[in-house]
Amino acid sequence: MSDDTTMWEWLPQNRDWENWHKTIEGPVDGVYMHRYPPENPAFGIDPINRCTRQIQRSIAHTRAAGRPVRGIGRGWSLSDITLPQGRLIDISLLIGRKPIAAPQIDPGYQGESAERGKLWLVQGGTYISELNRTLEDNRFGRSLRTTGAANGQTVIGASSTGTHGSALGFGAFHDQIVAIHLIANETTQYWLERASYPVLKDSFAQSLGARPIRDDKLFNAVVMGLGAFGIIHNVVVETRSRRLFEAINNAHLTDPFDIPAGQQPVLNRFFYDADMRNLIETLDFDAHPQLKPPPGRGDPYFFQPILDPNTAPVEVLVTQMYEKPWLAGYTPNYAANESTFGPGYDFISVLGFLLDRFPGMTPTFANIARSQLFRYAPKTGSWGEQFGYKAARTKVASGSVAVPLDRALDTLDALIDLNTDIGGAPLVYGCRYVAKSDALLAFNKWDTTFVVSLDGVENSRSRDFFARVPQAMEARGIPFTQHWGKTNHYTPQRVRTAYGANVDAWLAAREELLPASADRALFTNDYLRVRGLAD
Amino acid sequence: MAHGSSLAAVLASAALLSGCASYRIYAPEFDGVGPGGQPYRYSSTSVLGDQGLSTEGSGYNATQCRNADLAAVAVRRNFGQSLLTLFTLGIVSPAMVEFYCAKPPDPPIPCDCEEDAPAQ
Repeated sequence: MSDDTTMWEWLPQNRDWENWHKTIEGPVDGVYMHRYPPENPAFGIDPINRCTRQIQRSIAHTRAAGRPVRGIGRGWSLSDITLPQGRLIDISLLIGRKPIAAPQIDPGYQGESAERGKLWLVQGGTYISELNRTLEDNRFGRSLRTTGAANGQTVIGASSTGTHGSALGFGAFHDQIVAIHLIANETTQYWLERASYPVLKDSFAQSLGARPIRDDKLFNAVVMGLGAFGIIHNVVVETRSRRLFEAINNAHLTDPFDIPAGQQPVLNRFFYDADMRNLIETLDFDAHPQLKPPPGRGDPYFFQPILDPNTAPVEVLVTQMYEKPWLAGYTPNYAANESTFGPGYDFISVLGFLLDRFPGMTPTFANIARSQLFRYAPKTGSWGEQFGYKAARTKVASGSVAVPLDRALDTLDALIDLNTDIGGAPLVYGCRYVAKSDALLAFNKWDTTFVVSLDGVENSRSRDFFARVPQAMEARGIPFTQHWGKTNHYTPQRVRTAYGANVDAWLAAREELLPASADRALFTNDYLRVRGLAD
Repeated sequence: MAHGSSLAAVLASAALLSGCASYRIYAPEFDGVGPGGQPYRYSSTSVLGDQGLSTEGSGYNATQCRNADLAAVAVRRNFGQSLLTLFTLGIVSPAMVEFYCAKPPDPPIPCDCEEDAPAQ
């Protein structure tokens, strides 16, 4: 059978499409399902080109029908960024990945090209979970520098919406991407790199039939492209050598890794007091009486305080992760590990239903949320283990607001006051730190960007809270951005205020790469229009 | 009559509510890696305890998964479906069935690396 039969399928839909978390739904005409060549050949130029032809076939098919289209992977985003008001091109089964061979690397590459396996070519449908497993395998010994807290997104979904973690001194997930293979229409492909950071020889792009472009502004537009530039088929990810990470929660008073089996660690309790405020604002770990790094350690690689605004005084749960060398013979275990009885798949939906009717239960929710969102036990593992399996849940509420670090405390105070104003929303505030990105619409836009991840139960109060966050920030004159892939309330004016001239540069890049207005219309949806990023 | 209209409105509203009952079984890899692609959904109606009616014909062959395994199956009933099941004493019991395919096997990774990376 031909590739047209085995690698491509048009699946009309007569039911609404839902995102993974079942918080967004809307009609779609159907889904173009894309598959890797059925004989499962080793990942390389030929299978990439065969997949590209099928993606271009989908673009031609939807254009002939006069319908817009969006790329789709896991459908992980909690905003309506995925809804196409038309059709979806599903690339989640395109999961090839391989290290870049040394002869393909451009002589001008500034990274440590001598380090074997640093650069990886990754097909767009690869989940973070799949990439972690491959990179951390003994065969390769590599690791991602950062991911989000969960591992279910595709690499393109995560990068196109600004997914981030809290690795101190490093940016968001997309800041690991150094080259992009973009399919712009039925006949046009681009291989994009930064002029300031060349990666692969032009011959590689040419073997794909793609036009190589080295341009900082174009790359910085597409790498956080919100799905508006076409279908990103492949990217090159810059990896690091693998490490182990020791996660210490609430700074155990005893050595957390020297606790006799069966005994519980002795825990500190932390509150949003003067010491914690100073640490959150300055990241001066030595100044905190209990959160100093253990002897012989530098600052943690990862730091995340989580505030529970529904407790009095406000309690803070703290995770610090310290990196250590990989142990010879260590084998990561990514298996899910849940108790036999506990919250079910739709647990959060049930909680939201109850809290809408019994808002007085909201403080009680804090204890339940903690058990869901925070593990007290110490844990050592690879990056993929630390940020691995999360029990699937529907109807989670999640949004993020980002500010410059020197406005961190103003922001937390504003959010706590807002929570008091509305009578308590079932949300906790995870504080994360993300270094600046060069991407034009990156919400990690300040040298040290302080991100408050607002997570909890979706109900009327949490929706009300999210809707009022921008006003609360504006009322206090705090400059802020919002996470593109989570619940956000961007307006054209808020986008302009947040990103300034970068908005025009992003729009200009789109016109340059998609010069035909019909091509831009093909990859436009309401999400972009509502935010002033498309007509 | 007014009571009848109200009752009809309540029942109609209730019938539109989703998530009245939901059951799910999934393979160990379901969330360790995740399913591949979007979920597939079809309606099915059990009659006299057996699968008597289906919008997809007799039984359902998950051809969408091609060579991949099923990763998860969920059965959902909304309020209306549950009510019909109750009124007919279980003789007629409609539901929405949702299934996910597993991800296909990884393509082989060409690499000139050594068998084991050194500990760093």
